[in-house]
Amino acid sequence: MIQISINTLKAELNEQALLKGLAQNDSKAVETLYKGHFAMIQHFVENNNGCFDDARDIFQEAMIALYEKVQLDSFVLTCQIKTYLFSICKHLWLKRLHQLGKYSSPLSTHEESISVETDMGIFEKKEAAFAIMDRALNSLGEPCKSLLEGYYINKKGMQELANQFGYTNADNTKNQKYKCLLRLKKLFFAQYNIGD
Amino acid sequence: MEDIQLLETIERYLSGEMSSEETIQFELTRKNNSEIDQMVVEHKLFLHQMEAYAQRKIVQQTAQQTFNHLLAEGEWSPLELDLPKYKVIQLWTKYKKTFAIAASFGGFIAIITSLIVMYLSPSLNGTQLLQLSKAVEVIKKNQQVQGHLLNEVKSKVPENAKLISGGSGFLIDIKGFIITNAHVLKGDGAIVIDSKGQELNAKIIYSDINNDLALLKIEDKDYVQPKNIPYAIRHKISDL
Repeated sequence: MIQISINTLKAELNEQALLKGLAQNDSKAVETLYKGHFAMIQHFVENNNGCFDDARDIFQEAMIALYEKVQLDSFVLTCQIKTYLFSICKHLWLKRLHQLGKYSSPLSTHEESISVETDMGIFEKKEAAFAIMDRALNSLGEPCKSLLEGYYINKKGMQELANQFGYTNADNTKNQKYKCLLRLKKLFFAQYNIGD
Repeated sequence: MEDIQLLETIERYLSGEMSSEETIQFELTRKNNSEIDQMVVEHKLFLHQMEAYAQRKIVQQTAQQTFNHLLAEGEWSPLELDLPKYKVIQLWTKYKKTFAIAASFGGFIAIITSLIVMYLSPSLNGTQLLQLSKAVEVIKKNQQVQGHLLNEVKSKVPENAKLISGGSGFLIDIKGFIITNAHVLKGDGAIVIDSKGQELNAKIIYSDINNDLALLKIEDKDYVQPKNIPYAIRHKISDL
């Protein structure tokens, strides 16, 4: 009895460590998640009208959803990572099949799953905002896109960016960055509604 | 230019880069100028979205790299599917119900149609049928007689010609040369009949009465040259 409970505790601690790793974007944690659970999702998708690439996309999306959830202050995972990932993948795949008009019969699976409707609602909103930012950045053109990505995503300093892009000094780079930022904000807020 | 300076100030304010003195002054400006206040709120929201975008982008990159790395190491292999077969199964599962409805509807229509035809078709009595079969019999006989006449017309023997002799010969060349005995030829023309019963006109080219041999050549548009003659001819003195 004691042995069993220690083992469960161990497993739970492992999962907690894994989630912590994911929250910190640790590639070892990401690799462990892929190694531990991707095969299950591949099997599920390939048995339900999908292919390997579909499984790849769905799993990546589920992992990002888990990442977003871990980021929340109110984060509690009430089930195993495996069950959570599977539930999200199932939800996403059902939605994809529905969009393609392919879905007709109940999905064939033996995995247990939980309801992820609430989480998915939050995730979809975040995803929509992400898509708007992505479109806005991509329609900026170069060098604005790379300059802003360098500053906001890769967190590079002004001098480093000046060297990379060939500006004569950091001040000019900063000026250029703000010009680009004004354009990006205009593009972003043209599509983003705060109320949504 | 002013926009840019304002944006820079707001960003410095939001990222906490301002000195406490500067911060107090800027907050005062904010309080008195609702437009600037609005811009601060908006930029705060924007920076928040930007940070969320950045984080997600980085996780996406990590996931992609990890996945590609593991895939290259052969951690998983895509399931090879027999695509055409797979498509058919897909179509079948998708349209199963439609197929069933279409099939039963088709069956229903077929039954209704045959019932209507049965109901509407005129009933024939026995004598009428007998008359009909007799008429058909007469037509059949006429046709047989006509067919016979047609066969006669087709023959290549002139109508008033008399068959005075006959014999056998054999093809020695694909161009239609035939060797036969001279004594069987009693006129100046000949009709050759091949093994399948087809009649062909032929001309006597040469006849050697001493050796009792004659050479015929088929001259007929119906003659189809065979690819080769079905036997070999050798230069050799025969030995009886």
